[in-house]
Amino acid sequence: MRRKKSEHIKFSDGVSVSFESVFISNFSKLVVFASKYLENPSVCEDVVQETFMYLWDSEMLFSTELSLVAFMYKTVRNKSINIIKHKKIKDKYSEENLERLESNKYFIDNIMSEEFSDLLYKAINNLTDQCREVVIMHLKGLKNNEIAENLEIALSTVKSHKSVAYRQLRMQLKDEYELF
Amino acid sequence: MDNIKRHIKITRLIYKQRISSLSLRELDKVNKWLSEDINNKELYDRIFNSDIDVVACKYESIDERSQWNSFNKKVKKHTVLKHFKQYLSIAASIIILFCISVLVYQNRHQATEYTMYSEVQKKSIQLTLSDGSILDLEKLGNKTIVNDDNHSITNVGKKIVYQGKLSKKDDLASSKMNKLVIPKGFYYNVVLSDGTKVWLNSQTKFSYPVSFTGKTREVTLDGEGYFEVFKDKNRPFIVKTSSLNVKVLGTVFNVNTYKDNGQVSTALLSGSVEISSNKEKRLLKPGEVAKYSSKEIKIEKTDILPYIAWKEGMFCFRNESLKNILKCLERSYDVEFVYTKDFEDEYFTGDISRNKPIEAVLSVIDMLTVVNFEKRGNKVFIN
Repeated sequence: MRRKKSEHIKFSDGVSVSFESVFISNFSKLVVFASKYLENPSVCEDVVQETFMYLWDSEMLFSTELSLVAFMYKTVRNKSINIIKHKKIKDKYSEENLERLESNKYFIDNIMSEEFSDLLYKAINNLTDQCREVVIMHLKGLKNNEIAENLEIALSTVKSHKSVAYRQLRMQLKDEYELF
Repeated sequence: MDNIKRHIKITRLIYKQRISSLSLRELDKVNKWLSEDINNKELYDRIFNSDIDVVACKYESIDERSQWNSFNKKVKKHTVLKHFKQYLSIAASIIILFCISVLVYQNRHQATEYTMYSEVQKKSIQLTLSDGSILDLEKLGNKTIVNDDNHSITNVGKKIVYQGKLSKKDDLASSKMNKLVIPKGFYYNVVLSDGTKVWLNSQTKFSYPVSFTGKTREVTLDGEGYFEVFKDKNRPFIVKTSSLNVKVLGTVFNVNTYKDNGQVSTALLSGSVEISSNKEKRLLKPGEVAKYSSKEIKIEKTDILPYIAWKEGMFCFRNESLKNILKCLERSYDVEFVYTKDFEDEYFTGDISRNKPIEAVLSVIDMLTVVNFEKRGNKVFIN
């Protein structure tokens, strides 16, 4: 009784991606997203694993990668809310708190936070060590001379690392998404 | 869903703004969003100034690669475990036998030794053309049936393909209806002139125009069909059944009118669909199933796999009663089950390939339930 399973997800705009790549690139942000609803990190991981299992089983057709991502957030959120409601008997959550967690505002807020964090994290991770350090400090608001002092490198080096880094970040952006 | 997508796009723009800059058009979109709600500004500030250390801390603790490995393992177990979840109490020897029989029948290229299976040749798939002539599609083989200025109809493999060519005489073609009759034990596919693909299950009658003209695309179904409707916003696609109409725009769904449970069901995979009976209209979303039983339309969000598995050549039963399973087998294999005595119904969960001869399917069910099957000709006796 073996099922013939396609290990690719096809979109109706013609693009096709491997299930594995969808898993690897979305897993972390979905877990962090789930942690906004559930306290226990391994429960969060379970919820996301289940979501991917559901995705695997359902063989749904999505129009674009964006639809797929939206679907995953929705599924993780619904599963998380179900768990919370189930546990409500233990009265961990007050009525107001539950209302807030179930609200659409909370849902959207967290999607936006996690999408942003994920983009930032992946982009920075892809930079070379020195460039990364410079960018991180710059994002924290440090001025060039402060960065130079911190890393014990010349001011000119800071500037060149910065320009290389941001150029790389912008390049990544072009490859990744069609924004509108 | 569109609201979610829009916010994801805005987030990506905010990120772009953080590391680069936005075009006027992009800036416009962000500003529009900001102006919609006071809370958005606060959210924007929070996101824009995300602390990379905090982010990194959370993300670094997750090992995607090892999570993928355990997911993969689970997927493999998942498919096998599903099948005997209900039967953990059965003696180990039977479970082992079950695994062996599954392994044996895995081999799709195994030559059929079951000659009994192919004895019923009298019935065949019939196509009735608009002029009333009837064609036997099994006997026809790969052939172009019609090929004129307006359209062509070609029979190839296990499907029949309609192609409408451009013609000024549109109204002539639309009145031409064709009808496919698929008896028990058979299945067939159609590609309609608009590109819509239809998979038809056993014991199904399907009527459709040779070419679609007019404001809607209408077909009639009695039986079971899996539809991949070609997107055309201007011309809704409507599947008519004796009790229900299913109206779609461009989507993938399954309609089942067998009434095994006294119900007509429609399962939606993607897109959107409007179901209408003579009393009400309901909208269906992906992952939902609508069931109609002469009184009302009930919609539930559920695993739709069991509803569409037939199209992939599988039977997919989820806590299905044995009696319903047998009704399904009767249709697919054109056999008749004879009950020698009544028995308490059992419930079965499992996936079985449809491409196996019925003897193979029956022996699996035989092993897992209290019933015994004895096949004689095209009747199967149940003890």
